Amino acid sequence: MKKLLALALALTAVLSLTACGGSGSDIAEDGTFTPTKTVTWVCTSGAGGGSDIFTRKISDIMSAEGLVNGQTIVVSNETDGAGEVGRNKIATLKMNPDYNLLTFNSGDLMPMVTNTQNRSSNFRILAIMAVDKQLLFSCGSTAGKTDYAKAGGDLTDFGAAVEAAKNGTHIVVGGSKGDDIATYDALLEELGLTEEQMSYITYDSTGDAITAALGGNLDFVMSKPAAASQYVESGDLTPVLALSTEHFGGNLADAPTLSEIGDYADVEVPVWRGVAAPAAMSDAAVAFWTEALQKVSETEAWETEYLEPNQLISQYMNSADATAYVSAFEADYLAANGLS
Amino acid sequence: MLENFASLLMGFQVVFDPQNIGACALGAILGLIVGAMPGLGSLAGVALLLPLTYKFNPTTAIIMLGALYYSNMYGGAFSAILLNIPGDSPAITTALDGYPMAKKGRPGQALMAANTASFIGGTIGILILTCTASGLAKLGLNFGYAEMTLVLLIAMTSISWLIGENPTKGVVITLLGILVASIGMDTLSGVPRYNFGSIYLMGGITFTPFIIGAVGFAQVIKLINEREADEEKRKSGTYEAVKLSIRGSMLTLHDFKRILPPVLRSSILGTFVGVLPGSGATTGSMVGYAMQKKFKSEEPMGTGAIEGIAASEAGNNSAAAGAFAPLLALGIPGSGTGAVLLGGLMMWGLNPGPLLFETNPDFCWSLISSLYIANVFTLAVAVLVIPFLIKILSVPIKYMIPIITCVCIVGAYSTSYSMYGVLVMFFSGIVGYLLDKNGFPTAPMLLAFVLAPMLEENMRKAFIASQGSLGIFTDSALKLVLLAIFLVLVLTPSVKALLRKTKHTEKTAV
Amino acid sequence: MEKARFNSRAVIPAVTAVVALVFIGVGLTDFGFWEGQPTAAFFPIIIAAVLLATSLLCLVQVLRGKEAPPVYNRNELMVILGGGGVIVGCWVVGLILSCLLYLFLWLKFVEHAAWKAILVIEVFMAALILGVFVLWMQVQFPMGLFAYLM
Repeated sequence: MKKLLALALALTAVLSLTACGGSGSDIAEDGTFTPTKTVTWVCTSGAGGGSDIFTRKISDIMSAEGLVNGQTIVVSNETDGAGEVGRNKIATLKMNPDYNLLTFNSGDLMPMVTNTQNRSSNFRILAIMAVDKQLLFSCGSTAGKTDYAKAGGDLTDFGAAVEAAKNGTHIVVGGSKGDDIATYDALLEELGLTEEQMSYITYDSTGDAITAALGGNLDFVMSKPAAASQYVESGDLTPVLALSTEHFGGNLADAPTLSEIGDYADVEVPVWRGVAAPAAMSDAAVAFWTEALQKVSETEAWETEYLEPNQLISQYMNSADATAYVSAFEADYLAANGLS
Repeated sequence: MLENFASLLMGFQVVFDPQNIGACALGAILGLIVGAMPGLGSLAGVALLLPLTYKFNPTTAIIMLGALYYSNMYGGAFSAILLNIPGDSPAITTALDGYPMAKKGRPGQALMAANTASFIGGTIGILILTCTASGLAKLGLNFGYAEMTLVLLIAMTSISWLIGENPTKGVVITLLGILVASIGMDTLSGVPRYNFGSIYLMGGITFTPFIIGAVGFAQVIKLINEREADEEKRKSGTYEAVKLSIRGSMLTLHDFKRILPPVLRSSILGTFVGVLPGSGATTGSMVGYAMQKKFKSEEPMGTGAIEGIAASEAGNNSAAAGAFAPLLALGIPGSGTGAVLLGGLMMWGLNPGPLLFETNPDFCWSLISSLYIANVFTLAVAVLVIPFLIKILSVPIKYMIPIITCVCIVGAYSTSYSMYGVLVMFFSGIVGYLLDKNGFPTAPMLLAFVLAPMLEENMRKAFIASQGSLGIFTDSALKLVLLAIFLVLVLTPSVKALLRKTKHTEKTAV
Repeated sequence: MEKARFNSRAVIPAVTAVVALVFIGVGLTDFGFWEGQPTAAFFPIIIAAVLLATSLLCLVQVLRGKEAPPVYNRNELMVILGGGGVIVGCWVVGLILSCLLYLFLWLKFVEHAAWKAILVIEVFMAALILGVFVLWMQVQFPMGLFAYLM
């Protein structure tokens, strides 16, 4: 029996291809952590999406810059249960907690706290890497199929559309799921409109929503700058409202904020992209990862290959700041949606 | 249009570079492998190969990924025909006739028919793409929710043809498929429904493990009953070795004549289906197959008719080509794989979107011309591997049972990196087996599972936009035409049945 | 005993009828049917209602019909048990080892295959899993209890 077990063990060791550098602690006597095994990075969105690109870009830079002691980072796209399974797994992980990371964005947090009991306090928040904001766009010139377009409404003037909505013309806004919905809710509340007056149609991705807008099926489409930029350039989309407290730059500079349109306060729901880890991760490992992520955020590659093409705002926060920020964000979101 | 062909020639010049040709060939071979392996689809293949391509220049990279994506559609048919396990969802309809045909002793011809249909379908799709890429994409945009709802209703009618002799059972199983598909996150309202408190069910029943189980594993359970017969045959020497040569797999002129009309019809229809936002290759193969039911085939469809394989494969490959039109002309991904390719374009520093054709013409046209090359390459490779593939059929059934079981498990795990996928596969296998035992057909359940969520989403979006009014389905000429097609498809069988009933009233009385 | 007359053909429509009832009940309590626009349960409830009706129709047909009940045999159960065994094994020895172990046990004790055939199949499957899935696709298969030793 012992022989069989030994054989099985040897086999698995070979099969798994995860050569482990023997036992013993990875935490040196001075309390610093150095990875000595393969790192698993869970991304709860499918391959190819925004979160996946974010994850793979960071892991590429970490490997290229030699930040992980030559160890491999394996990205694992765990999409079961709309991502809740992967998030729950990381939150409760007890095995090798120092070697497991999770991509954690505001778009992940919102459905998580709405639909499950899992909370951000069940994780170690390692860092926030970047922040994004949204705008509303319209494709003014296309022959619209919506009630508002048929009524001859001016699609390039969001203020006029709000007035029309108050007077009973149905307005249709489209956007992606997750964080876009939160922004729509905030916008609706500020404008004092109901969902019947200004409806929101949820799409799987911003790309799908833009497609619908180009086909004249939506009056306005919500998007982050990156996804819409090309269409603004080609004249297919016009930015009509900046969901921010200040104007955007470049070809989006014309879009007014909400306070410039009427007697409203500006609406801004920042969308952040961060990294989390199991609650059981050691303090030494947290210190290691938060520092490694800071180094990534300072690289040239991060700036030119990730932030610029995606028009994101670089905003690195270390573990302590990010934890405070995410907790506050979560509390606001819970309060706004009557959850606890 | 002439302009387009001049640009295409320029594209060919770029592609005919040893490095690019090599990338294209490599992509074609890898794509075949990924496609034939249940559980790994083009999405996984493209996504995982993407990081490798960062080191190439963008043109070489997209050529390789394009070839991979493309040859995948060939590969999916292999396991569908030989093992009755569709490698990916567009191959479901291929399995319906492909597997029976292989069992009839013509596996070589079934594979060859699939390859030929894929090739012609792909070529026609790419030709249409070449001529009208941007115009086509704009046309696709005109399909709003109401139009898509009607197109999907038309696609749904294909299910009625698969229902078999007992309509009640067929309807029960179709509806069950729709209900199972409704478990999980509701995209429109963003809330989970019917998850019964489980976080696993929150994401729904994962599709690929579900088909691997309901078709593949259920098949293995049935297969064991043929084991003894198979052994007997082998021992008594009456066992006929399957022909192993390429020549033995060649289509006869008669076969070719049979497949040509369905291939041409499916290819043209498939290309347009591929262009529509969010429909993709699966809808392409299903619509192609459904249409073939309307035409004559020598053997009844579903019993191994070569026309069925041809219609399904041509529809699938041409839709895959058509899906490039919105991707290149407007930066809109038609499918998950398209979305990954789009992500790749951004990583290489290109800005996908309406300006891509103007700002990077050499890139766009070399991608299109690489599709021609990839198509030829894949055909060559696919034909050459036929003898090896057919060897699979000469493996005794008693060995196949444990091997396929393992492949099902490994494949199901790989779709979402979790044991949940394996459990979905296992239980849907048992359910599929029980249904089959009790005379319920499973194909309608699978098709309903794919199409119903798309139908529901579009229908509900239409209702939101129209504030609940049905008028949105009838307010344009295009919608009326689609509605008319749908009604004709639905009503003809009932009218025919009614006519038959009045003729043989006494016979049909229950 | 009713057993002699028991016909499993009736079980499936009975089960689907229950499923339909559950979907209608849960849908109505959780979401309702129509609130100015279709709710999340609108479509499923309609489908479930039709399913309920057709299931009952199907049940009547089966009970009235004279089709012989289907025959289940022991071998089919063996395949299911084998598959279930591999899955249980995944949590103990990991997925790859569990598959290879199952192949061995099945071929040796169910099929009484020759050693040579077993070896060929084992090597082929190991190459397929490791080559395509592990090395190329970078799928990390579960390690079962061995994960604790890492």
